[in-house]
Amino acid sequence: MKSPGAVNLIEKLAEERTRDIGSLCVSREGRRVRLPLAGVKIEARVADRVAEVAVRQTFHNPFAEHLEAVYIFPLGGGSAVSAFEMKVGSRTIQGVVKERGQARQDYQKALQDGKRAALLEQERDDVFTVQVGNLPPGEEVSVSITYSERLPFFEDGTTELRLPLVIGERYIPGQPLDRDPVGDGTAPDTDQVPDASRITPPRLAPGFDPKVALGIEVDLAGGALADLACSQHAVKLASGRIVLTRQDEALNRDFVLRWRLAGDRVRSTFLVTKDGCGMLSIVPPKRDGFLGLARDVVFVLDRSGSMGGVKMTSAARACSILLATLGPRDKFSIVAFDDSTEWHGRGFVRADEACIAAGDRFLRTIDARGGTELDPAFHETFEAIRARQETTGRMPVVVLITDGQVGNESAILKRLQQQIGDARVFTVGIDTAVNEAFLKRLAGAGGGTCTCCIPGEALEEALRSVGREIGAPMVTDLRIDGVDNVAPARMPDLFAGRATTVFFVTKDRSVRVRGRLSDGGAFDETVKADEIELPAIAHLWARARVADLEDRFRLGEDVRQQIIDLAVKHTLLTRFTAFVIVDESEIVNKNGGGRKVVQPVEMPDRWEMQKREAEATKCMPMACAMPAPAEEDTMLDLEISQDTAGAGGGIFGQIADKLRGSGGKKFKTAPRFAKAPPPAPKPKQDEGFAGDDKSVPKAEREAVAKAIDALAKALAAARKAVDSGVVPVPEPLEKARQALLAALAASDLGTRLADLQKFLRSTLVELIAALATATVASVRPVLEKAEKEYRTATHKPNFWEATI
Amino acid sequence: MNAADNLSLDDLSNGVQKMLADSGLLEAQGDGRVAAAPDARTIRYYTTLGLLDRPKIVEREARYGKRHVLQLVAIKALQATGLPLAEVQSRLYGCSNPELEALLTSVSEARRRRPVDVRPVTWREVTLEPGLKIVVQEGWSPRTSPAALEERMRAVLGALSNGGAK
Repeated sequence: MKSPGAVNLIEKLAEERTRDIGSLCVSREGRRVRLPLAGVKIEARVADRVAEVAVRQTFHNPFAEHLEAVYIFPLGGGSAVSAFEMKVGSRTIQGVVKERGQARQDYQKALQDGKRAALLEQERDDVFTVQVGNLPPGEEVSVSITYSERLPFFEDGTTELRLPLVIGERYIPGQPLDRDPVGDGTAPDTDQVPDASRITPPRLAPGFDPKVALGIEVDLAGGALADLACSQHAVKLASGRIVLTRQDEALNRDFVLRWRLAGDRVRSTFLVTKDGCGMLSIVPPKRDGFLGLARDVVFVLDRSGSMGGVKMTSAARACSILLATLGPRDKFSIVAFDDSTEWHGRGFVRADEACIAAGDRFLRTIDARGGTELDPAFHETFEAIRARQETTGRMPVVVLITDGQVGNESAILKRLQQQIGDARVFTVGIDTAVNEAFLKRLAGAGGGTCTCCIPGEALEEALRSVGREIGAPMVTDLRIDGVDNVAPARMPDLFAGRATTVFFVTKDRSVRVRGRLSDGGAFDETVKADEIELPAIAHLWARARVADLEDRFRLGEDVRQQIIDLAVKHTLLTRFTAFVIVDESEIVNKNGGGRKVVQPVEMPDRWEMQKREAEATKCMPMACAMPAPAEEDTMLDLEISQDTAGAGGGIFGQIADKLRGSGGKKFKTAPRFAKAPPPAPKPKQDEGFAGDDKSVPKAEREAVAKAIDALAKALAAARKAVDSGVVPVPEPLEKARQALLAALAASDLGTRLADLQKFLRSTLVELIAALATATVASVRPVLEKAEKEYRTATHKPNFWEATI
Repeated sequence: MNAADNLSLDDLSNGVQKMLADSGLLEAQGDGRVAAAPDARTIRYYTTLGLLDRPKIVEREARYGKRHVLQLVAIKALQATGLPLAEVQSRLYGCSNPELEALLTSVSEARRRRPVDVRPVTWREVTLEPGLKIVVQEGWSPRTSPAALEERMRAVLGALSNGGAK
């Protein structure tokens, strides 16, 4: 319709024209978008392959009432967020790290008190939520988030910086939960992803320009650039910095920068701060003609709906490239999964020409369709590895090829930790906005490596090194002499061509690293320290420690408090802590009330939404095919004025009237951002009560809760007695124990509270028996053990604990 | 719970469908874009766009209420005026109930006032010489190509300036 020279003249006219209600006028440029996020500015400085990144988000309030803005956004995977501040006018207010529940409370209280406040929470390794509340009409504030990240690098000196800009749409398995959602996203929380509503931001419809100003500046210290490639964005050099060429880039794909510094010699390095925080990067030795163990490789290929289009063909191609790198001693198998699995052939086949050709044929038939049920697919994979006939001298390897867009990362990680055996897991991420943090964690826990590539990109190039790496570490059993608190606790193995990094605390100024070479020889290297003033190292060390602790937490160890202590000490954002800012200087919203708006975000670039029908049939909101938007040549604009509110007329007026009439006051008021989000005093059984399962009749729940209460009192009385030097009498405890057992026996809850049952039938019995004979000194440890177990057995976890 | 606040997805779809049919909206647009009633898939899609609030979950089922009805009617009403979805989202996103009601009211007033067949118009700009442009409505003379048009106008212009000289 548009030909060169054609102009939509109406657009120009519109500016001069009075905007009558419902009159015909057109506008596009210049019209204010009623969304809270005005701009995102990212400044990164990279030195010694550590990136320090500051992300500034500017929020404004285009509404007539106070605004609470919510933005769900990504940060680089595994990054250590160490500062959060808010700028109001010329003032800057620093955020503090607190235990997450406390931080959330402080934030809510500040809002109720009418103060400006901001909250930053971490949902996943790479998913964060920022909330800025009580923003007065017309006002603009900005928040800054500072994080550091250790960048991956390779033996040729290539380093990669990835700045994610949007969260992909994640597959949410499970049944929806009968409770209020814990977040502001669009998916309901489910039993498998209890915080789904925190990782599913609303999406912009195709063609909606949210007018978010994006700026990225990268400063690479340390010399002239030899190679520079930015795979998804146009960049240019401006006064020594790398900046975006275009002013109007959408936040719909990762910013990925790769470079090599001229004259940069790649060697193992050891940087240490004054207070003894060390960062050691080890580069594998160069060895040619290296031949590892024979491998049994399972390729696990994601064929879920989100992989549709060029991503699917790229993933299949990637699999085919890796398949071709196998040698004649190797065996392989391929499984493609969505909500079900499809195996290529039966068991493992030799990687000879005929079998590889058959595998290629299978790969070509794969199309994208259903949900991303990775957990059961992993289960089958590990079972297949366990069922192998011939295992001596053969290394089992899993290669996962996916976009990683799932919401139940925790369950999958746990499965891997429990079932991996001696297998190694490698991950290959394919997406424009990949869930890299999760794929890195999987590979880390699986003793392998993670490689991400852009769909359609030169895959051969990107995967060149992966084929060499798969299943064949060059150095294993690495250890460092004379250092403490090494993180990651299990040192990663060294793979050909790729450096690995560990953090620790040391007094020494040189370290000796030893390990075992793949051919049986010894690896022994001493690295001298360079002292450096880089606070990021301490943060990265603390972050790596937290990641270790999270791995233990997932397997059931109660290291909650250790994580919180570490995070508070190092001002670190974790799943258990949050940053909160309260602007104490003024009350800006005395009367309370206002509007809550969640910033809608772009769909990742090159996602094909049409393929998602299979997912749409499940009980979850999923994007699906929509009729194409109308041609955008001209648009009618019906300006709506507040003045006409309620002036009924015409059929819609009647509908509105009808709705208003029957809806009453409750319906008329703006929803959600309540004046005082009622933290109504919860019924007692909700507080820390593990048996809060709504599917059980209320009477049964209350009976159990009452009995638990009585037991808690008896335990408290026993504690009081011990503290005052008296051996407590056993009768009240025994009575409470019997009562609780009876309450549990009378309800379905009995079968669901396994921990509590165990506690009642063993530890508590021990305690009661001990009371009959013992002294205070001998009772104390038994009581303490019982108290601890009681807390665990009746603890109702916060939603964030289920997602570690 | 009030029945109107406890609609299943099907109830919502059927209810809004009926409302739209009663209002004559479904016939209003000949291009088939809004004629389709909002089915379950579309409703879920609107939820991912934040155009519809999340439903309440009761016994593992999504339950919708009056605000959802209002939101859905508003979406369809705007689409019926020829707006693409992105534009609909930019208007409705974050709207309170009174705003949605006001919007419905003004859409319906506009519908009453406007002749039935209002279509967007595109104008073509033709530069004849520096400082002189004319505008032509697209489709004014379908058989005239831009080049031919330019030539004819130049001829007219020439004739005019010749006339002036005389």
